[in-house]
Amino acid sequence: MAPGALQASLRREALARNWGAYFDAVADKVFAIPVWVGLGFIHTEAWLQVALAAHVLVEAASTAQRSYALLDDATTSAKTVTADASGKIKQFVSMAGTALLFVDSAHVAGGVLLWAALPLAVVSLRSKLVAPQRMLVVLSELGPEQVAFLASAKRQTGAHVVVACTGPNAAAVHGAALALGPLVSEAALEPDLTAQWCADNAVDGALAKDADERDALAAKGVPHVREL
Amino acid sequence: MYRLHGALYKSLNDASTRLLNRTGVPPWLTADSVTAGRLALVLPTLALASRGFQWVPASLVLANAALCALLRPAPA
Repeated sequence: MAPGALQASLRREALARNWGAYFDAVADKVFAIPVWVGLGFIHTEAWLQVALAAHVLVEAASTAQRSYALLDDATTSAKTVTADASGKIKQFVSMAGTALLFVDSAHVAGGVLLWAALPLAVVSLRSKLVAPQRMLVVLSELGPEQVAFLASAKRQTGAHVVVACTGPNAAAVHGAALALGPLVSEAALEPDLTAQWCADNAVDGALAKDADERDALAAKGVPHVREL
Repeated sequence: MYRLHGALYKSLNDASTRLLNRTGVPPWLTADSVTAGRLALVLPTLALASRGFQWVPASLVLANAALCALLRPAPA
């Protein structure tokens, strides 16, 4: 990077990176919801209106969740913002059903497809509502290399990163880690890393670059230690 | 079902990539502009449906789904 040049913040970079995926996914909902509302006026059968209303509710909730994920924690993984596998299949089935609902002679088939897509829509929404994991990262110093590691951990796992600060500079690392904002959810000063400590602090696993460090953490009883 | 869906994505992606490689990509043709374009399809869809058309709004819904498939990567 050229001296004096402005560098975008991690948050701004993440917003720019995730925007296209978010816009693409939300455009589906902004297209489909008014269409389903309109179809609710065309078809007066209760079983079709229930399916249409259910889709409107589920997709509105899904859109709200995506928007929350994008804006509340912009450093999160794009996975929480974009469509997953069940979301894509649901989109395929529900759009085919929606198209058939416009045609009088095929509207029953359209309604069946819409009902078939409903469980997939609920599964897709549920996958977005699962709380992110809490992953532990142990740091004895905090320089550009460690910040890059934390950013990768956040981006690749979408987890809440809990930093354990150890070593002679633990206090300084603790203060600096807390200042990293959305990259670090919480930081602990010289914790006694045991399985019990991880359980008490709802830590799901740990990330470490070096194999030796991973072995040491696993030996202490830290669960699910893995490489990033 | 998922395999069929993936095959549809892949074929649409491949076809559009071949077409754009042959003709060149205009600077305004970004993923976001295509998304905005397919979003705008909601207006003619509702307008035509309210006038009693059946096949045209149905085709517009399918066109929207096809454009959506073009923009998204094929499932792994």
